[in-house]
Amino acid sequence: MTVALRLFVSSMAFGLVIGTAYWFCSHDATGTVLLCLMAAGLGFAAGFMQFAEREAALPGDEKNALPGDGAGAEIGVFTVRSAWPPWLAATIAAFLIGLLISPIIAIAAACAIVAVCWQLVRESR
Amino acid sequence: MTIAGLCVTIVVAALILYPLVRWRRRDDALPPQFSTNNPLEIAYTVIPLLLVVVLFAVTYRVEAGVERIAPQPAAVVEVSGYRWSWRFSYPGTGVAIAGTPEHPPQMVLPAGQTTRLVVVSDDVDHSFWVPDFLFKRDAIPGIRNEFDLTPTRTGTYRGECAEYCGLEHARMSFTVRVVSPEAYRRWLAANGSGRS
Amino acid sequence: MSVASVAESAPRRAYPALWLISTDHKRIGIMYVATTLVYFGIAGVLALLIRTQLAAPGNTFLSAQAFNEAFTLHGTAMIFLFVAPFGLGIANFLIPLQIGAPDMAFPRTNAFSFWLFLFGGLTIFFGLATNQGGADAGWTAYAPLSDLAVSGGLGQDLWAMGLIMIGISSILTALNFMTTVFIYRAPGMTMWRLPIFTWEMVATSLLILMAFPSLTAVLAMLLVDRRFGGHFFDAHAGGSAVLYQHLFWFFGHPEVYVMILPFFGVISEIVPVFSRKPIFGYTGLVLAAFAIAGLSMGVWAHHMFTTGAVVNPFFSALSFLIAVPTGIKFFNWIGTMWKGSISFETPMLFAIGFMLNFLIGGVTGVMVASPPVDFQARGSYFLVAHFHYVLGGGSLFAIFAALYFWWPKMFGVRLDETLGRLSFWTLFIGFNITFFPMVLLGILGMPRRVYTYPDLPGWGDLNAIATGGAWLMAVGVALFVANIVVTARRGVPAGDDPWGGYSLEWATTSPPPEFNFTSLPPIRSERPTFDMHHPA
Repeated sequence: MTVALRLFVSSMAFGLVIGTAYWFCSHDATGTVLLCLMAAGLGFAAGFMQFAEREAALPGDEKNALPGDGAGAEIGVFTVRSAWPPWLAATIAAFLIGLLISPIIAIAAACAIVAVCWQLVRESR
Repeated sequence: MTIAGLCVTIVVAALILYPLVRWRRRDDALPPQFSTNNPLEIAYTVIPLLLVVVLFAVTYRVEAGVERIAPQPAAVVEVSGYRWSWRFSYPGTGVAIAGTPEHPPQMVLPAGQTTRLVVVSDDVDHSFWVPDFLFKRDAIPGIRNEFDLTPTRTGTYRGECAEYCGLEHARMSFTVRVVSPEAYRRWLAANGSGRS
Repeated sequence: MSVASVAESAPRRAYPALWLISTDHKRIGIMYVATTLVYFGIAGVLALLIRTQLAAPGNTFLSAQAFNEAFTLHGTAMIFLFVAPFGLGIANFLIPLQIGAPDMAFPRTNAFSFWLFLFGGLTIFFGLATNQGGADAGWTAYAPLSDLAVSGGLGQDLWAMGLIMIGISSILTALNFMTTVFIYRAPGMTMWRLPIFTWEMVATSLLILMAFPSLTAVLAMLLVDRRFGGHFFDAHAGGSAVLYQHLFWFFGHPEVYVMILPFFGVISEIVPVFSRKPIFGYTGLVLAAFAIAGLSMGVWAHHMFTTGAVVNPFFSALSFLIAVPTGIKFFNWIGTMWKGSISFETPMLFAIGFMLNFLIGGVTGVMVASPPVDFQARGSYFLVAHFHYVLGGGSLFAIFAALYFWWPKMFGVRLDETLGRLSFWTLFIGFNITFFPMVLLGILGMPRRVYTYPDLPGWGDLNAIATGGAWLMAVGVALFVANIVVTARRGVPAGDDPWGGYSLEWATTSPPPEFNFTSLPPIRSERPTFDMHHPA
C-alpha cells in the first residue's frame, strides 16, 4: 500500500475507533455523527484511491532513481496563466453575496458561473 | 497543576537555552551529524505519556468532587441570565432579585450549607462565574445546569458573566454575599414579599 | 500539453496584470503572503485600538459597539485571514520546490483558491462598510447571539458568507497539496525523504479536509436561521444552542492545529540549518504530526467544558494526550540543537523565540485541559493569554522566521540582518510584556471580550502594562516594514543558497525560474542540497 493510501485508511480507522469510544462514553448523537461522517469521508477517499488509481510506478518512490529517470513522461497539464480562475472566484463571490442582498445579482452571477466553467473546460482541451 | 506546569516550563526552557550557550558557533567545522537516539526518543515519549496519565487521573478525581450533587440541598437558587444582568429566584420563598447593569443583583447564601444553583438563560448564552469560588457554569437557552455550592467563608464576592453576550456583556456583574444561616433566614423572611 | 520545456522562463519583471492571471505557484504563494500581511496589519491596528481602550478602567476611547466589532474582526482576521492562509501561502511557494516538482498538481485550481480567499476576506470587511451593523458576535459567533433576532446586521451575514468562501478555498488548497505531494515528487524523493515542512503540510491538508466541512455546514445553518426561516439553533423552537458549539468546535479545534502544524514545519526547517545538524528524530516528528492531527479531531468539546452538556473526561483525556506528540517535537528540536554549531541569524532568533513562547502557551494549554482548571480559566484573560502565546508567540514568530528565511528565495535578496534582529528583540520583549500580565489578570478574575472593566486592585496596572507591550510590538512590526523598504532599495543579491540550506529549494536560483529547476541533484536523503554540497 502506498503511503498515501495508508494515510487515509489509518485516519478512517482512527475516526471509527474514536467515534465508537465517544458513543459509549457520551451517547451524544452530534459528536458521534460528526466523527463517523468524517471516517466515512476518509474511507471514501481511501476506497477511491485503492480501486481507481492506476498502478503508477512513480519515479518519486524509487529510492535510487536519478534525476533524469522521469524525463519525457506525460505528467500533466501545467498552465502558466489563465484568466478563468479569478473570474470564477469573482462570480462565485458575487453569487453568494447576491443570495444575501439581491436575487438579481445572484441569478446574473449564476449565469456567469456557467459561462466561466464552460470556458475553463474549453481551455483544458 | 500550576506547580507541574512551572516545573515543565523551567526544565524545557533550560534545555532550549543550554545548547544556545554551550554550542554557539565557534568555527566552520561541521558538528557530529547524529539524528537519532532510539532509547532517548522512546524515553521522551513514554515519560510525558505517564505524566499526562497521572495528571488526568488527578483531574478526574477532582472534577468528580467539584461536580458532586447533594441529594438534599439546604437551599435552591434559580439563576436566570438575560441581556444584561441576572435574576436570582429562591423557589418557594417568593424572593426574586433582578438586576441591571447599573444596579447589579446580589445573591445571598448561607455559609456552611449546600445550596443548589440552577442556571438557565432567557435569551443567549451567558456564564455564571464567581472567581473566588473557582467555578463557572454556562447559562444556555434550553438547558438547566445544576450544581452545588457550599461556601465556607462569609463575605461578599464578585461575580461576572463569562460568556460574551453582546453590547453590555462587560457590565453584567453581580455579587454573592455569604452570611450565617440565621442571617440568611432573616434575609429571606424580610424579602419574601417578592419585591425585586 | 506535454511536460513544458524547463528552459523557458518568464520575464523577471512581469507586468502586474500577469500576476492577476498567473497560475504559477510561486506567484500565487507570494500573493498569499502579501495579502495575509496586509490583513495582519489591519488586525494589528484593531488590536492597538482594543488595547488602547483597555489601558484604563472605565475608558471611553471606543464605544461598546465599536469595541465589540473590533475584537470580532481582530479575531476573524488574525485567524482566517492571516495565520492560517499565511501557512497555506508559504506552503504554496515551497511544496513544489521542496519535492522537486514544476508546479502544483492543479495550477488553475490553485489560483482559484487564492482569488476566492481574497474575495472572501473582502466580503468580511465589506460588512463593516454597510450601515446595517458589522459583525459583532466574536470570531466564534455563537448562536443564539449570532441569530437574526440579536445580531440583525447585514455585516454578520457577510461575515458568514465570506468565511464560507474561505472554507471552500482552503479545502481545494488542501486537495491540491496532497495530490501534489503524493504524485509529483522528483525521482528519488520518497515520502520518507520529504522535508519535515512538507510532511507537516500533508498533515495540515488532512486536517483541513476533515474539519472545514463542519465549518461550512454550521455557517450555512446559521445563515438559514438568520435569513431563510430556520431554527437550528433556536431552543425556543426545538433547536439547540449547544449544537452550534459542537459543530463550530468540531471545526474550530482542528483549525488551531491548521494554524500551528505548518509552523512546526517551518521551525523544523530552520533549526537544523542554523545548528548545522540534521533534524533529530525525523520519524518521530512525522508520526507526531499525524498523531496531533488525528487526536485534534477528538478534543473539540474541551471548549465546552463549562456548558455542562458534554462528557468532560473524554475530551480532557484526549486533550492531555495531545500534549505528548507536541512534547516530542520540542525534544526533537532540542536534540537537533544539542552538540550542534549554532548561529543566531534572524530566522534562528525567531525560531528560538517561537520555542520559548510556545512552551508557555503549550503548558497553559495542558493546564486548561483539566476541567476544574478550565472552570476557572475559561472566558477569562487566562485563556486569552494561552491562545495568544500559542498563536502570537508561536505562529506569529514562526511566520517572521519563515519570512526572513525564505525571503531570499522568493525575492532574490536577504532582508537586512540588523533591522531583523532589532525587530526580533522588540517583538519578543513587547510580546511578553503584552501577554504575561494577562495570565495574572485571568487569575484575578477578569473576563474576556469586555469593552471596559471596574477599577479593582491590579486590574488597571496590569492592563496598562499590556497596552504598553502592544505598542512596543507595533514598533517591532514597523521595523519589519522598514526592513522590507530598505531591502527593496538596496538589497544585496542572495544567491541560490545564502544559509547553507538542506532542502531542494536551495538547489535552484533565487528566485527560481519558471517550472522551478533547470537541473536536480540526485536525492538520497532528506537533505539533498546538503548532500550536494557535502559529498560523502
